[in-house]
Amino acid sequence: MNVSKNEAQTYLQIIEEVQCQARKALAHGGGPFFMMIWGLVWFVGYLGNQFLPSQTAGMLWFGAGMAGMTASFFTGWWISKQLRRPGHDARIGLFWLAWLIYTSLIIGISGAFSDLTLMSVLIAIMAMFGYVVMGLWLWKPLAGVGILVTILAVAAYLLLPGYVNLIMAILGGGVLFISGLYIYHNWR
Amino acid sequence: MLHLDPIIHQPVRLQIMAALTALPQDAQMEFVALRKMLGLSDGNLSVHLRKLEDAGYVQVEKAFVGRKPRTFIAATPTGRVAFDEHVQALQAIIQRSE
Repeated sequence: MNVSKNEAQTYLQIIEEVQCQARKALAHGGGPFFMMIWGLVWFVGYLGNQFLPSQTAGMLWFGAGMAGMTASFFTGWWISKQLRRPGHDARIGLFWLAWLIYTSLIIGISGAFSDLTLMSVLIAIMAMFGYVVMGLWLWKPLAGVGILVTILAVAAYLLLPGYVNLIMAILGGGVLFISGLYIYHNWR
Repeated sequence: MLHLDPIIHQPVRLQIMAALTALPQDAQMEFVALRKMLGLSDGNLSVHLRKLEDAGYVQVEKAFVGRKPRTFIAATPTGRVAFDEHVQALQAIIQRSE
């Protein structure tokens, strides 16, 4: 089979373009979309914690959380129509169910309900623990973002406890949203 | 000695293999999603998938999602190796002529 240098270059370019298109179309299993969705939820929720009375902030969190879960469900459903990972799909759902139960237990037993700041940070850390596990399991960049936001959450809680909610809104939510957006547009 | 694989070298099959090998090893792409991505007709994609399947390069699996039957396609380990070697052969052609 005779292939010239120019033809070989053209074929390699086609391969690169198609592979990039495939990764982008399936958006790495939805990872960047989940990051953007929950980045927005955190931004709204933590901003409410900082500036609104606790009852109103709680309602805002509930509304934002429900919107985030609905958006995540539809994103997951849309991705699963195009991409299947047998063996992983059920375990991902079971992991997040276990995560929800363990997070509720930790927050309930630690008495964090009476301390909004502590509860905010615990939820953030547990959420990022979920990202790290998902990252190690499915898609490594998610683990990197999880570790980065965990460091920010712990540092904010220890060094600037009075502004922890504002920091988590801007840096936590912001890092999640911008990382998701950046990865979606630039990852190859 | 690296060689160009005549089955993969055909442009449509090259694109199919490129798309499937871009996914994680355990991932399967749905037929319609692949067809839309590559801008092919049902028949055209089916014909080329059959050739790749006969060569053992892809695995085609039918499954129900809800109540709808769907076809999922994945590159096999043999297909991934063959595709990698094909890409290396293309790169070698460029290197040899430099």
